[in-house]
This record gives sequence, structure tokens and C-alpha cells, in this order.
Amino acid sequence: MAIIDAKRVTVIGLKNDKDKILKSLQSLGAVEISENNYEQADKIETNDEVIELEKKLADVDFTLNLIKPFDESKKPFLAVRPLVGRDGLDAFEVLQRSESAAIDSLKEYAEELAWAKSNITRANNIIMQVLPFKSFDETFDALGENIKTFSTVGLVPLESRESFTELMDEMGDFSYYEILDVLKESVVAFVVVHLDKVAEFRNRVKTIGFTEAKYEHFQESPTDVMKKEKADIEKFENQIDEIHASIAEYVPHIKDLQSLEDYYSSLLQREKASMAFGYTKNAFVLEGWIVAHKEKEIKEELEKVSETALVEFRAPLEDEDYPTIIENNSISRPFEAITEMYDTPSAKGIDPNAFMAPFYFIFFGMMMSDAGYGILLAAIASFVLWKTKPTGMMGKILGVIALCGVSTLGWGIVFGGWFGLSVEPLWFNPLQEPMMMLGLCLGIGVFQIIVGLFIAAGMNIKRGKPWSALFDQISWVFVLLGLPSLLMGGVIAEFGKYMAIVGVALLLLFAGRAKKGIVGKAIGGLSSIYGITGYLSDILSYSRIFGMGLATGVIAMVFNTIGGMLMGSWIGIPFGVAILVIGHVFNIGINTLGAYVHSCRLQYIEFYGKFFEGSGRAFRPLKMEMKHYRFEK
Amino acid sequence: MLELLGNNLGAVLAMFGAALAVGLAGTGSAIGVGVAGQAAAGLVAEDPDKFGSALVLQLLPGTQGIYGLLVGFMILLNIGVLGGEISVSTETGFYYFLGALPTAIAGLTSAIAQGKTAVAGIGMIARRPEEQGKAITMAIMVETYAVFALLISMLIILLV
Repeated sequence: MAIIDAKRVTVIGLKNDKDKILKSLQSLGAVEISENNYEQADKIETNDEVIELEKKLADVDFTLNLIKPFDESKKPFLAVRPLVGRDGLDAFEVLQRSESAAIDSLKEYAEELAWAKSNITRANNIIMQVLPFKSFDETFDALGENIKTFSTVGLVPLESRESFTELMDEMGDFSYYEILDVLKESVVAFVVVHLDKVAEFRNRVKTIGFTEAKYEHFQESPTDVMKKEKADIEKFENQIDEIHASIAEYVPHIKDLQSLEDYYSSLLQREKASMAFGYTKNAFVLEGWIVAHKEKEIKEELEKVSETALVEFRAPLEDEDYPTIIENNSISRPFEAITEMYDTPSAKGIDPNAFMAPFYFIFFGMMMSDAGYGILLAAIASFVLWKTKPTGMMGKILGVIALCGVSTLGWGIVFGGWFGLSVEPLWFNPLQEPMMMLGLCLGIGVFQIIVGLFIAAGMNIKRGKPWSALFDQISWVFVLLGLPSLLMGGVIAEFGKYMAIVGVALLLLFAGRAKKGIVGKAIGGLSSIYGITGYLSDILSYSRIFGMGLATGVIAMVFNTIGGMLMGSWIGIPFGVAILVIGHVFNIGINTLGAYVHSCRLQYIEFYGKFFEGSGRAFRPLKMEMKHYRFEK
Repeated sequence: MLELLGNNLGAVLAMFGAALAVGLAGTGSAIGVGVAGQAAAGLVAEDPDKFGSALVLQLLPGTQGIYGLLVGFMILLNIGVLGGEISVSTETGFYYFLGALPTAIAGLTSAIAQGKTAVAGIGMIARRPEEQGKAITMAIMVETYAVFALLISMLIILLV
């Protein structure tokens, strides 16, 4: 339910036992290995091994991606990754050898594919180059310098056509030109000039944008060149088809390759971890952080695999930077995802998840506030959770949605919303009593802010700063409780008046206590009162709960109305049903997103702003992280 | 024309308000979702796996258009366009018109601004995918003012 103590662990063992020990630690998933700058007594070889493994892993990944497009077997929509144990994973080792031939030939096929594709690109480029000159029916090698003349073909931009003819006329005798073809943006010109005038010709046509064809590499006529290249393209396309067919034959290898990929990646994680070890000729040392209460389990496990290993634990030192380990009960654990998206709490701070979870649960439900949607959300999220058993972030977010679906169902009953239809509410209908709803939202907001202030006050007291707690937090609690009470009238208002006065007095007198001099203290006290605007905007921010609730309810009403209108006649019934189904699915989607992010924001800004201490370092133990399997201890 | 205005000024004003709310807030959302979509397409071209995170950010500026729709719908519902007879006094019609304005104005501007924030956020998750939560939070900060506008619009429409 909170931030768990970390302990420093040191393991010294024989090099021969290193692999066994590492594998045990990885299976336990409870030790975060720290980087250490040991003076190495012995050269470490792991660096090369890591590079080698990374190469092998990349090869497997590459071949898998190559085969995948040819896998036509149907995959279930929601697939669960199969379980694999330690022995099962070890058994994958044989795949290294048995799959190496497949990997080699697949890599070869990939090279052939790349070669064929580059040839097609080359041929296409040549065709593009020659295509404008298709109306030139002589061969290219007839162009260029002859005994007395120079001939060429080129493109003249359409707008320069007249300047070109003028220019050619000015070239005088011994020059000839012919417009062969008119294209979209240019004309194709065939030009013959006297050898002595080539330089002059080139200089003059440069100014009007004449581009000469580059025909040095071609002998045949443009049409023949294109014909040859097209034949080439066809040849290479056939070759590509053949290679594809050969690759498709490897589809049955997919499962083994996936197993091998996970084998390599778990091995790589170990090798990378062992780069942080210290080595002597025969022994190694590793240091890291563990969850304090797993001390015994780790010690027992290591003693089981190695008789000589020496394991020691100690509490973190005063100035040591240790990771934040968070553990929560199964109800608030999914909500860790919300905090993870924000920041990692400082290891010396407080884990906000248990405090935040109930508020998140309530806010989300109030924003969706439709019993029908709640049932659907909870059912779908639970089904996906049960079917795919996702781990990590995805699993937590699905858990949040499943739980908040229950809250949505509850608030839907309270406010009388069932798929946008107004049913008799348990309490009141927000559309009919909007002021009541607004008051409820702001009231919950004030409550959450006060809870946040109390948490901050508690932290201050725990750190031996009770006066900070009183002047910086409790004073505001008085103000926040006192001012709204003034609206109530009667005894409560009288009581509220004094609370507010006490709160403001505390702020005025003591908020500037850290400042120097009597004037500084007075100004500090006065300016702290200005903080009331911050609290005001925080509280008003909670009105978004009402806003989001309106959005869900009224969009549902929109679709119900349109659907209802269509269903007035029998022809419209199928369309009406379609509108209703699509509309409500759309509404659930857009409002789940809205409720999710707006509930997050209320936690991050309004709640965490009061007490959260972030910039911690998350605990990342060495563990079995696999793409295709789930690890089972 | 004048006769229509004279006899139904209330309904005309109310519908004018509904049209503004849906039209302006919708315009803002279209622009916002559009620019965010361009950025998202750029990111997905580089890394197709980020489609999900990019899509969430692209969707965020779309909500203002929905708020506009809500306000428009509530006005039409209250003046009886959606079934029943259209009957609304000039005074009430004018209130509905005023009620539509916050969502129309804040919807238009906040959706565009939120679109720009979403573009920046998409740029952020291109380089640091783990910071998606922060990118979304930044975009949601802009949305606050659209939600406030919706709230006041709805209070006017529901309470007059």
C-alpha cells in the first residue's frame, strides 16, 4: 500500500556459477542490478558476447518480419501468449542450431529480393529517361559527332519554343532542326549543327532551358531500349515471385523462430546485466537493489543453485540514490498506471495510488454516468483481461477501465441514465437539477483538495516540521472549509466565519515566516492570501466532471432521438437500429477517452499538486521479458 | 422574410445560436483534428507502432465539435424542433442565442489551440514515447476552457 523499503544486495560467486545465479535472479524478477565502476581485476568478455547476441537477435527478428506477410493462418482476435517455464525456455537452446540453416537461407533470399528490386528500379529509371524521346526513331549511337556535323536530341520547355526556333534560324547555314513531338511541358527537338558551331549552339540554347538527352550509354533506338528494359523488369518480377514462394515455404518455422527470439532476448538481458559485474580471475561480484521483504526468498534461491555464493544484504545509506518500489493491493494496483504516466514518486516521498484510486474511480463514473455503458465497459474490459492476460501497462489500464465500469454503472443508477434514456434516478437527474450537480462536483473537489492538504501536512509532521503543516496546509483547510460554510446560513455559517478568520489569520501571520525582516514577513503573509485564486481555479476545475457527464448523456440522447425518428416507419427500422448501435459505440469510445484523460488531469494538477514529490527512479528488476511467451516461475 | 422574423423571432434567434454553436465549434475541431492528423500521419509513417498513441492525441481537439453539437441539440430540443410544435418567446429565444455563444467562441479558438498543442505532443512522443501521459495532459489543459464554456452554455439553456 505504499512505497516499500529497498535493500542493497551484494552477491559474490564463482565465475562457473555465474550463469546459474543470473538465471535464478532473472526468474525471480526481484533484483535490480546496479551499474558499478569496479576496477576490473580480470578482462570482461561479455561486451563481445552482447554484440554477438544482439546481432543474432536482429537476424531472428529480421527473418520473422520477412516470413510474416506470407503467414495466412487465421489468428484469433484476442490471443493469449502461451506460458513457458524455466526448463521450457532452456529447451529452446537447441533451436539455435536447428534454425540456423533457415535463418541463413532467408537472409540470402532477402538479399536476392533487394537485388531484384534495385534492378527493377534501375530499369524504370532508364525507361523514364528515354520515354520522352520515343518519337526519335533512329538509334542513339547515330547521334553525337560525325565527320562534319554534330547531332543531338533534347527537350525545349513549351514556353521557349518560339525563342528556340528563332535561335536556330539565327544559327544560319549548316544547321538543321526538327520538332519531333510535343509533350505536356516541353517539345522534343532533333538538332544538327556544324561541328565548328557546337560550342556556340550549346551556349545559346542554355539560356532558353534546352536539356540534351543523355544517350551516351545507349546504342539502340529509344523504343528498343524501352523494350529491353521492360523485358528486364518482367524477368526480375518473375524472380521476385519465385523468391516469395520460397520464403512462404518457411511459414511453418514461425513458431520456432519466435521461441528462439525469446530465448535470445532473455539471454541478452542476462548478458547485459553481467556487464555491470566486477570480475577477478575466478570470481565475480554483483550489487543491486531488492524489495526488502524478498530478502529471504532470494537468499534461499541462490543457496540452492550455488553452494559457494556469498549473499549479503544491507539497508540503503543516508545519501544513496535507491529506486522507488511501489506495492499496492489488487484493487488499487491497476491505478498505478495513472501515476506511472505522470511521474515516479520519489523514494523518500509517498505513494499516492491508494489515496488517488477512490477519487479516480468516482470521477470516472460520474463523467460517464450511464448504467448501460458501465455494464458494457466492465464486461468488455474484464473479458479482454481474462482472455489475453496482458502484463504491464496494458493490463493495468484494462483493470482501471473494468473497475471504473462498475463505478459508471453505480453513478448511472444514481443519476438515472440508461443508454441515454431517462429512467427514474436513485438520487436526482443532473439535467433537471444542474445547480445540484454543480454543487456536488465542486463539493467533491473541495474534499479531494483537503485530502491532498492533509497528506502534505502528514508528510510535514512525519519529517518533524509540525509548524509547516499547521501554517502551510491546515490554515488552508480552515479557509477551504470556512468560506463555503458561509453560504449555508445559520449556525454553520457562524462557525464557518470563525474558521475562515482563523485560517486567514494563520496565513497572514505565519506564511511569510521564512522571509527576512518584519516587512518581508508581512509581505509574505499578504501575498499568501493571493493563493486563494489558485485554490478557486482548482475547485472550479472540478466542474468538468459535470461537463463530461453532460457530454455522455446528451450525445446518447442525440442518437436516441435520431434513431427514434428513423424507426417511425418500418423502412427506417434497420437504419434506426444501425444509428443506435454505431452511435452508442462511438459515444462510449469518445467518452471513455474523455473520462479517462480528464480524471487523470484532476489527479495530476489539482490533487498531486498539493503533496506529490516526483522525480523518483522506478524499480526495474532483471526479469524475463518476452515478446511471444509469458514466463511462469 | 420580415414576417417570418416578426412572428418567430424567438425561434429564429434560438436556431441562429444553435447554428453558431455547431458551426463554429465544429470548425475549430475540424482545424484542430486536421493539423494533429497531419502530424500523426508523419509519425506513423516513421513508426507504425505509435498509431495508437498518435490517434489519442489527434482525437483530443475533436471534443469541442461534440460540445457544439450538444448545445445545438439541447436548444433544438427545448424549442420543439425535434417533435412537437415550435414555440418559443422572443425573450427565451434570445437567451438561447446568448447561451450558445460561450461554446461557439471558446469551442472555435480552443480546438485550434488544442490542435497545435497536440501537434507538439505528437512530436514529443516521436522522440520520447514513454512521455505520452504528459503530452496528453498538456493538451487537456487547453480543453479545460471548452469544458467551462460548455458548462455555462448548458446552465443558461437548462435554467432559463
